[in-house]
Amino acid sequence: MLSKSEAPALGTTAVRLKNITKRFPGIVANDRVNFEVKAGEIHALLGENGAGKSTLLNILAGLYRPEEGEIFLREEKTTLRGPADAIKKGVGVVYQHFKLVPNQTVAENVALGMRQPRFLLNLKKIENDLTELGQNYNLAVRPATRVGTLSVGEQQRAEILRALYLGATILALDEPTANLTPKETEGLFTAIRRLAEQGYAIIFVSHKLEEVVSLASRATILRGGKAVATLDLKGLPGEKEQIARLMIGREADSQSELELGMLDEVPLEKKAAPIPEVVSAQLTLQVRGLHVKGEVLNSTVKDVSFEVHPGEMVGLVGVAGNGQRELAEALAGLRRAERGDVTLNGADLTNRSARQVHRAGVAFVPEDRLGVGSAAGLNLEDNFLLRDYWRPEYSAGPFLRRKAVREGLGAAIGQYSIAVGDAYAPARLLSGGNLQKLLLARELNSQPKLLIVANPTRGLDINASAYVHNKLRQARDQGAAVLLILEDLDEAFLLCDQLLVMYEGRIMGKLPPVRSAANLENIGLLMAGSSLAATHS
Amino acid sequence: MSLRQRAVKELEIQKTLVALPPRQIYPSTAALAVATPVLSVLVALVIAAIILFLSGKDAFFILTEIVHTSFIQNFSETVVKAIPLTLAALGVSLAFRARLWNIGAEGQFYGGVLVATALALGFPGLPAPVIIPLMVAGGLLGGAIWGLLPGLLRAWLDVNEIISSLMLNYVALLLTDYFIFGPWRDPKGFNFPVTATFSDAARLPVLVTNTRIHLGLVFAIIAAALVWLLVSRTKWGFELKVMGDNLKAARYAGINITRNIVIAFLLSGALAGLAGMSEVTGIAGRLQQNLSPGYGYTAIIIAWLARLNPWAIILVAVLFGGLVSSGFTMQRVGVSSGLVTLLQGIVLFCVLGGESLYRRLLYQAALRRSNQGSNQGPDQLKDKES
Ligand SMILES: Nc1ncnc2c1ncn2[C@@H]1O[C@H](COP(=O)(O)OP(=O)(O)OP(=O)(O)O)[C@@H](O)[C@H]1O
Ligand SMILES: [Mg+2]
Repeated sequence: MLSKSEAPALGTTAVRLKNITKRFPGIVANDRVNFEVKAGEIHALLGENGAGKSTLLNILAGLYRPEEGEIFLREEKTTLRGPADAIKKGVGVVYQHFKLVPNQTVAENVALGMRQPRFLLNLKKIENDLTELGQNYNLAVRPATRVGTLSVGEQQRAEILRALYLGATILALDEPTANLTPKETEGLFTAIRRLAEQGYAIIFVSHKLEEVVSLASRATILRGGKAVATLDLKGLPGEKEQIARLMIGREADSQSELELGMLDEVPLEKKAAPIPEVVSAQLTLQVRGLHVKGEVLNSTVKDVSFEVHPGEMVGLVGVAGNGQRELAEALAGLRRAERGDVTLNGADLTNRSARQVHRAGVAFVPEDRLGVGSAAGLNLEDNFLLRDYWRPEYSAGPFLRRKAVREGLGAAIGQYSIAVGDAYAPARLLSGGNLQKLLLARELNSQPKLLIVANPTRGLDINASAYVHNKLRQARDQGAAVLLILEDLDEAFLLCDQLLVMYEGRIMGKLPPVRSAANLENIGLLMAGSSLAATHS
Repeated sequence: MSLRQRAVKELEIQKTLVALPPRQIYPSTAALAVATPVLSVLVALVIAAIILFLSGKDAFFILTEIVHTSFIQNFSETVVKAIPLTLAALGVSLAFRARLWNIGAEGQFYGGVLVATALALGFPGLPAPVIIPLMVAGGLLGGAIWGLLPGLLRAWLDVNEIISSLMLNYVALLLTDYFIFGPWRDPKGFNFPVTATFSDAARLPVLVTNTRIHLGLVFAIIAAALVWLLVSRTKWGFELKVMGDNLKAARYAGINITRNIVIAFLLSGALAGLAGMSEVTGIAGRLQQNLSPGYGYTAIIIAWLARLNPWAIILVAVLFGGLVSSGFTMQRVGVSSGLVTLLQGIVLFCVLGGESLYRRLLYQAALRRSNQGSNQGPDQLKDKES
């Protein structure tokens, strides 16, 4: 039967990578990387977008073969001949984009990875084992449920349990918190700590330095494919700054420092600039009594009304899955509204086609960048062109003006420092953060009147986040109305002029982005679905 | 940000602009489109030689004989076969680009045949400059109508186009039978299921004397050029490409998917119809049974092997034209017809199985090239500028 292999003794070396080099056309993704993780350690792997973190994990997962270098598992030199081989040798990797089969249950997905019982499957036993394992490690899942119907957090727990059940003692998590709610993140951290105590070796990739310093005991920093340093994290002040500096290779922009919380006090006036009266008289986006059918009942948008003025940045905050996506899609012309209306500068945009809405000046960066926001099999040029190919800038009559497109793309790659080896490689080969930058560059390029962005900095490194924040502010200051869908309250406070709290498809209230205790409590209440008792108007 | 910092940043931007990575690194589809069929045929020839050798034949003699007849001695017959293959393959390639599985080229071929025949039989007195353009239009129209049905079903009702387009092939075939056994049967044809011979004016003129190569060759080349222009240079071609990659992204891009599905099927069918029209008016000169030895199906394979690249389609169509006509040669030199089919199968197999291999080879070559480039260090930028 299946061997749930024992985790090695604490403190022994679980993984050692020596001089690992992996090249892709036009880029050295990992350049003689040395990396070591001990049993019982939570080791953060950090670096800017495109630094080579996911590539290194893919090597550990047996997906990529390094061109040079050696891999030692438990002090034993090995070669990983493929994903199955890596699993057999106790390495479990949970990817940025999950890999479970959506049409099958959690238990079935686990069974798919098992080699032992070739013909007879005892699903019931697997289900029970998974439940038990989940309880032990604070990773609750429903093993008999189809994966496609699970929430992101639960899918991730299922991925982790699968790895554990298949015998992983080395667990690598690629940006596991990017899509989690704060509560889910908390739960995940409890699980990770518990696993580490048991002697599991954990590799943890994240762009959120706050989490890193609170969770990890060591950190290895990649820059441009090279491992530039490994630090012991002791929770001392100044650690974050040190990491940031190592990641970037120079001082962080003052903007990034500010956002990192390196400069303690953020002057409040600076961001919450009041809207000039003249401008607010002329509404940009006006939504009245909007109803949109959602994927599930909770995410059905019910009777939503709000406004976004030119020169204003409004944050739609709330726990994911409460109708934010449906609302944004309806505003972008990608989902039918059942009732209510949407106007932009007085022009009716209710249930217009995506093209009409876009032509009217609405830019939109959807949540699912790979599945909706890009044609990932096509190259960067085509993806840069995706939404704007019909504009006179890029076309003449029925023909495309490829030269103009290339110039535009070149400028975008430069301005947003998108790290690419080859602009003609398919977009899906971009690192997560770089794809995101490409989408933002494309949408902002059209100088929109209304800009809707879902989680603008998810997966972005510090400098890129700061850069995107600046771009968003710039768009706002130039008179665009900006609507952000945010799960991260810190980001909401930092950026927005107004916050709308969404719960079960309704807008529960409108609050100022003030970090006072009372306000925070109010937001918390609204996000959890209770209405405010006379505390706020 | 200080002025200095800003200036530095600007400079960085300009540098990056120059350093936009060069095109050659990734194997372009065009390179693959040529490499795949050529390499496959070579590999297939080797395998074929081994099989022939094992069955006690003089492999070298037979293979050289085939190559000699198909591609030198009787090359004109190969070209004749390549004409309808090219046109039909260009047609299906358009639909495939948007990942619409139009496998109804055979039926659309007959759609063109029927309309062209109706015109030829209906207006026997018209002079060539009138009847030929009329038949071209008719052929396009007939194929388009046959393509329209599965297109509309898919666009409006989301009916699987594979099944509907395939079924319509049988309908077209039976309809053709109905006409040649019924209303169009030649009264002077000794009861054979054939129509009367078309008037000379309604025959596509021969282009090369002493061969059967006809005006259809020009149609095929023009069609390839137009398809190339359409898919690689126009907005509509771009829309098709996006639809083929990700329908959700296509919706997000504001592409009118329903309309494009219908247009893709119309054009796809029209080209297959033109193939049918050229075959019936350029070669047969009358409508008879089995006008097409499965051109519409072979076209699917051709389009696929050529990776939907219009120029490569011509090349692959010629290869397949040669393969089709090699059957006679092989029987002449004493290879059984079963072995002939087997050999044709091997070529196919090599092409299909080899594709990923060639892709990997090209990728590796690209990797080597690009790494050589990056080892040169700072000189790299200069290289890219020049
Ligand atoms: N299969 C591939 N083919 C070609 N290039 C690749 C491939 N995978 C990754 N790359 C490139 O290698 C570099 C490193 O990518 P990687 O995904 O490892 O970055 P990352 O550190 O995970 O970044 P992020 O934080 O944005 O996820 C990027 O420039 C990326 O475009
Ligand atoms: Mg990554």
